[in-house]
Amino acid sequence: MTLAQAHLDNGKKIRYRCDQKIGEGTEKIFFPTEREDLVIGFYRDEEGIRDPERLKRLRLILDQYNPTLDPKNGDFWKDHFCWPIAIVTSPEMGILCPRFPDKYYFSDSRGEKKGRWFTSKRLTLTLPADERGDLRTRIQIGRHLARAVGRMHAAGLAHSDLSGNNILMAPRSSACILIDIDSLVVRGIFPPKVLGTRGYIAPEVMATSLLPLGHREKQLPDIRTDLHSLTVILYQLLLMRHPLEGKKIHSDDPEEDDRLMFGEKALFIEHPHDASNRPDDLDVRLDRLGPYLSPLFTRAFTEGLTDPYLRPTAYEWVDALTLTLDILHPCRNPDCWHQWFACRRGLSLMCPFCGWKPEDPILLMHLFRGFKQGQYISDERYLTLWDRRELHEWHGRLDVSPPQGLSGGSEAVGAFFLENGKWRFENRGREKMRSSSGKSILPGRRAEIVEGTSMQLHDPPQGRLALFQFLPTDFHDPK
Amino acid sequence: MIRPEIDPNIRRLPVYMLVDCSSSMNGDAIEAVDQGFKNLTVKLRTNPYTSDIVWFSIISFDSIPRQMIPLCPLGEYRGAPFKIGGSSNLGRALIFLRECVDQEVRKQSAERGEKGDWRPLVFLMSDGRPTDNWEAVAAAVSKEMNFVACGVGIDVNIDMLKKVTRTVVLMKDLTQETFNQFIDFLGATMTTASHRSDSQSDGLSNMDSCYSNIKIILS
Repeated sequence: MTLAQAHLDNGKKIRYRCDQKIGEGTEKIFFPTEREDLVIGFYRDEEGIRDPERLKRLRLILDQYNPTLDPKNGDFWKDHFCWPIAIVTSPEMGILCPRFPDKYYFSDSRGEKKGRWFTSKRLTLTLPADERGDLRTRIQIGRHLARAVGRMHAAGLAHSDLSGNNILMAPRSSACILIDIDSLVVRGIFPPKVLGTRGYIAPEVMATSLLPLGHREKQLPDIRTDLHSLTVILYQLLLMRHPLEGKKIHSDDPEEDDRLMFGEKALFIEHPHDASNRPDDLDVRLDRLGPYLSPLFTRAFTEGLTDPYLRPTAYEWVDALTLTLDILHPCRNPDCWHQWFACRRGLSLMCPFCGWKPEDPILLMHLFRGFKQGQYISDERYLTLWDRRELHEWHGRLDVSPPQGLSGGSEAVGAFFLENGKWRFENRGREKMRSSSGKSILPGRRAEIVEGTSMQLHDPPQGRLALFQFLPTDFHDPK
Repeated sequence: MIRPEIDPNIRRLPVYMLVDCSSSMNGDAIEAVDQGFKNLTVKLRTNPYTSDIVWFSIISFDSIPRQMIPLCPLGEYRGAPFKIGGSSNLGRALIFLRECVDQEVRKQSAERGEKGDWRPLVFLMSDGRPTDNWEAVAAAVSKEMNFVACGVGIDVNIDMLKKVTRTVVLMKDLTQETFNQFIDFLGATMTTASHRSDSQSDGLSNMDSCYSNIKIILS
């Protein structure tokens, strides 16, 4: 083991193991340091090493643009970003970064848990079942990712190269982390250095990729192209296929075909009015993800392909993913590694991944809020209930948000039970709740729920009203 | 342009976005404004309270103010092509804002039996580096409207923004949850206010209580 000394631009020094390369990307080579929690990445490109622009950019990224320095929320964002912590000035130009937490490494030789492993069906199936993540954890990972991207965008920054290579995912902890932060782009200040990664590059960038830099029509990565990449990753994560790679062939030349498929001629494989790119083996249709996600994906991959300003924002994705978590039902097929599926009206009741069908009708809880005295309007959201499903404070109250972090959150204020074909609700909160019959459900007590039961979950005006409805098991998909 | 129909029975909530487009806003600051706008308008549009009643206008200013979108019902916000450059004449912009409000926002009149609109909600999106005399105008205008200052950019001058309004938030700190709570709060306040009495309440009475709750205010 040989230790060499590296100098940081903040005047400090750190020793690193120069003979133990631990990782290599297109831009940097990584080495461990004497501190277990830190690694050094040296830039590979010769000409960039003395680039004063890069130094300026890095200083801003490390300092003013750095959300992990925030005294209040810094730790929260450290879970989302592997943000560089210092600039290395000698022996070569580089950056000092936190080492990825252990959960982001496979226990075998696969190394880092790059997003790619979880975004393609073929690759995912090579993983042990308990490493793949189920639909629920993949939605949580997606939300984690969307929140991270949203935070960058809220500060006016673009990642510029979001792809399955720059995100590490840990399905067992429902977490992910954004890496390669040092190539951040700010419109008008830091121009992008790369166009992105195949499959994730936005169509407008792909279509103009052959134009020389500085050409009037050349499109470069920015916040809106990030939004395209984000949407591709989310679609892949949830449905395990690429949204634009279908059966259509645009050119005999593979390179040209690629450029057209992801660029000028990009066509959503599930386009509602044009089936020409639809793969023959399309198994789980997009609408199986429920009423919050499918319109967003459709918008992003139809109008949003040609008009970057119509792409859903990262925070729109956070919302849609959060709401979708509420409508999941467990799949009781022990061999189905997806374990969950979304329930919605108008589609047959089954797990689209394995075909499992529940025996009992499924109970949905629709949420309403008070409007004027005695009037309620729909919140356009609902919960799918199952035996022992818990109810939380944020379901019943407008003034309480679901927890943002991975852990924590409030205790349950209630739970639903399915016993002998009958549904009951148990009040586990400290306040009484009122059901439609005017009866109070005191803390600790249970009440039966039938079709059409309604329940005031918390006092108005902040409290929501719940209305219960069954989803029949014998509904068949329209042909 | 056809003037949109106003339903005389609906008390509208006029929302004015006052966007600083001076040269110091170049880069991350103006990009943050664009994303912030989108997130805000999506929430306003999808919230059952606000989707009906929010009317929306964008005023941009550098040396001179311009109303890019006159007060109109909340539609899809596409992203406005903000042009950056010039000085930051906030005082002048506030006077212009007041003129727009005078023209576009209805006043309550019991005599004529006309329903007024809610007190306008103004989002000032700026890095807090005005170049003209703004203090006197700001003091007057901020009493007539509910001001929220959204600080953007890495060099945001928070102290200056605090002189315009007590309600200062940093755009980068706004998560979807804080947006949700803010919009829910707007809706709830408006309905509770209308429960109390239709005639006396025309402001969002206790905005401060909302902020203490959602913890986005910079103290």
